[in-house]
Amino acid sequence: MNTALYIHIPFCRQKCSYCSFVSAPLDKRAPAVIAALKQEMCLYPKNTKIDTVFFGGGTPSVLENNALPQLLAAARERFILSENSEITAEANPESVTPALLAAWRAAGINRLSFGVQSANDENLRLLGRLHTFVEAKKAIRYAREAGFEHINADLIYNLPGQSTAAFEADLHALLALGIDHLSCYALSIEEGTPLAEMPLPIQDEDIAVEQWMSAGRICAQYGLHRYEVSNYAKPGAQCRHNLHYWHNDPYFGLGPAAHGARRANGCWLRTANVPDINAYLQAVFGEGTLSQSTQIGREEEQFESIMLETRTTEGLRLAAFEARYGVRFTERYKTAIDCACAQGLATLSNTHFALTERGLLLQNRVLLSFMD
Amino acid sequence: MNNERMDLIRNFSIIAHIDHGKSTLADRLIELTGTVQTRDMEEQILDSMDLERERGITIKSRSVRMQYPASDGKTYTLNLIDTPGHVDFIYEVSRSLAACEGAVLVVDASQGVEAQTLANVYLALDNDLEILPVINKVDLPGAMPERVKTEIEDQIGLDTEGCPEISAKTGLNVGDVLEQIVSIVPPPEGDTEAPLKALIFDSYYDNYKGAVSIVRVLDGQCAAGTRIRMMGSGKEFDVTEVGYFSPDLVACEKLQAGEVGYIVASIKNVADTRVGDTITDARRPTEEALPGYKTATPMVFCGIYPADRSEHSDLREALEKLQLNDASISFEPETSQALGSGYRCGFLGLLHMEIIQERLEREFDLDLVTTAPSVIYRIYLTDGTEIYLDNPTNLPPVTEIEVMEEPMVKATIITPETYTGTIMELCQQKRGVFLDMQYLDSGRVTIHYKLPLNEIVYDFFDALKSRSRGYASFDYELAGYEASDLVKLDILLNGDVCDALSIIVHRERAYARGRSIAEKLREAIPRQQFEIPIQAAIGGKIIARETVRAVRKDVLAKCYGGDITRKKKLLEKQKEGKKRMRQIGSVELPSEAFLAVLKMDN
Repeated sequence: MNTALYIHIPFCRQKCSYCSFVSAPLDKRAPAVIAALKQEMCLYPKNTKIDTVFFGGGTPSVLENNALPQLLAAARERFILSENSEITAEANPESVTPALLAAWRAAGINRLSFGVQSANDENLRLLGRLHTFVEAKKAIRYAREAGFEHINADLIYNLPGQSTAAFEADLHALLALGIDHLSCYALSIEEGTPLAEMPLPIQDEDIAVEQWMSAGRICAQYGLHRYEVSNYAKPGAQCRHNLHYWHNDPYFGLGPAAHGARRANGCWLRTANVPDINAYLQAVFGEGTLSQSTQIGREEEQFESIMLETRTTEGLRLAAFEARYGVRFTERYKTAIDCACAQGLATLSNTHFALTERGLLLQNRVLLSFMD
Repeated sequence: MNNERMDLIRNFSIIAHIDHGKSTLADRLIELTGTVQTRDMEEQILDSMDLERERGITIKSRSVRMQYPASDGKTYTLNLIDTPGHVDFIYEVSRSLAACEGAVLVVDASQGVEAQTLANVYLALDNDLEILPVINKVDLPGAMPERVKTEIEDQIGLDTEGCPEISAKTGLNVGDVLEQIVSIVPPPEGDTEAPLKALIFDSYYDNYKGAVSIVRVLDGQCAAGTRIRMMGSGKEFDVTEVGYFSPDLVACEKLQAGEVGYIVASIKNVADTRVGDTITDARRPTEEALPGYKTATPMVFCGIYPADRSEHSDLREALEKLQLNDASISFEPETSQALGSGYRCGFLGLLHMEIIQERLEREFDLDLVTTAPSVIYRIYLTDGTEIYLDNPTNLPPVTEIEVMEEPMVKATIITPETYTGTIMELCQQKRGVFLDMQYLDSGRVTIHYKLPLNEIVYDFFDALKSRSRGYASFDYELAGYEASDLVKLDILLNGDVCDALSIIVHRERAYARGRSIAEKLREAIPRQQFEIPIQAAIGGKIIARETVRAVRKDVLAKCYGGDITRKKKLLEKQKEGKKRMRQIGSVELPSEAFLAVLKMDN
């Protein structure tokens, strides 16, 4: 089974008001972090077959033009990247230039993911974004000109006070740009973020559901289909890297706060790197603990597979489950399956256990009965 | 010889209204006598429960033996028994006082004589104790020691000549208190040669020693090896250890007449060290047992259930252990359709109930579901029988009821004049009947009201405190039963009556209460996969309705590599919460929902 490679770039020009991830303003530690990332690759087995690479963040596009190409070259040296590997980089509209995109393209990056978030400048300001929608459109145009075929945009819905009509307008404006992938997330206001401190109208669950439904409907009009709770793609343009996560397949996570999962000595192991940049550098170059690993028991690993795979509209692949665990899914979880199907939250075919539209929205409730 | 030793003993309590500085004074006395090294000293040293320290109140009486070299050149043994200050624990106080010859009455120099001051003084007088008044907090800006002295003389009738004016906080004049204890409190009387006669005034369970009896020896002596008999139960045990508190347990050779200490006799069964019982020497018994204590009457009842049904026997064990510490708790098994097996527990008052619930949760690590408190109603049935009802669920059908009566109390509220209006308004709202009002000299008023007990068991005390900015004090005594137009208010969830939520209310208050409970429940019940109607009903008649809308979205927006662990944790938390829910018909009810019934608006 091939492995996915995630590389975390922990820098941003400025932190967004809703963000609870690990990132710091771009500073002089950037070259050290890049060196550390290369170094960290050496901790993983040489010649591992890598299928997808994802540069996430943070904002990878704030780095020097040659940073990602360098990292990619190092990865090719250490691992074996498959011929048709999917290599994605995240970018923010305000920090992409034609030169950067050309350098990325030349290095083999073949998919871009833009944090567009909204087509409404007022909302962009509320979210603490540094770009306008016009800039986002420009960035996507540059990407096309640089030869990128696969472009994703992130869009946030259920913003405070946002009507469904306003959201639909955002969606049309974005899809009209011809992107082949959309990640559309409900805003979740995390504790400790600036947004949590603002006196905002309460987000209504029913409006969220309404907007999620209209996302599915409108995306379909542009040829994009929901293939995971929050993701839509044109046929063949699904993000292979993310599908990798949802299939609970192994991945290496490099960089501060990056997570990974892999099988080591027969045990399913989840790893989490130290979140602090300095501690990360210290651990890679000097002394200190780089990552914490947790052994995941068999039952729990099975549950992870269910939790992740049922997020996809394709659903849990019965044959793959049985091959991986030697357990027949339909027998082991009969009660939970029957219960979900009886409530109209899921369907069971000969090949898949898949959640219905209502089931996807209530996935947590479905999962609870798989925890017994 | 014996008398000489007894002459050097002083047994005393500190009594006061809550917050007047009892525990702080106890701290200073312990420090001053060197009983505890200063470096080991912590605040409220006798309040060993976390709950006591957190709330700054004393719940359990605690005793400590101190050695004090007085100015007359002799060293005295002082036994201090710290007592609770809140009205609910007056029973606890009365037990402790029976073990003393004197009481230090602490009065706050700015607050003056309060309801509980008086109540405690009467108790002390009932026990023929010598009372030593002490004015505390004289260092505070609002202190008016002279005025407070006049109050003590006028309202209590105690001589305040030479009464120490102290600050227990800073230690000012605390030495005078020790001197006066020696000179004013009489030494104990008793015959060390007579047969053993000791009063159990408290007891607790120790995991290693078994049941520990805290006693005052009146006659004779007791040492390890003595075969003792509990005169109430007739059971006999061999003493393995005797000792005193300092404030930790210190074993000693013997306890003799006049002394306060503890007796350990590997007593396994908590019920065998009943508070109020007399201990005597089995081989040479005393003729007559001490009168013991009047049993405390529980006034407030509620159902207590384990949140996790499998913890039922743990709950029983915990209640049994607490009962050893606090004989005023009563409990008997009851079964609720909604909550399964639990116990109907009786308490002395609301604070008592709250404290016991907290102790069960903390000290025994139990998760509890508690039903709304109820009082005991007297019901005359049409067939002429009379029943007492402490659980609304068991109310007979209306057609079988001739008359229903509810317990009344006479409430005494002392408040600064400013708050009179708002407090009277509150009492009217609670169906109170005004009795009288007296103006005290210092701008304060005593208001008497007759109130139904079932109106004050909910939130009366909190409402009173908030309306008077904490200044009003409240005390009550039972004042018999009165006929009343009472109805049972049922709550239906998704069409089914939830027995644990039923309450008995006055007809006139039923509509407002029903609406308020339904609203509170709507907020407390999490959305489920279907819509849940909440209805309040009297008999078959629906008087209020609310709806919990169905959940439509419960999924994490994002879930990628890094989120998996976090997501699993969220689900585990959700699962944990679900486990703690009660399945009532098709509806899952969180424990908090049961509290909704308790929280009323004013």
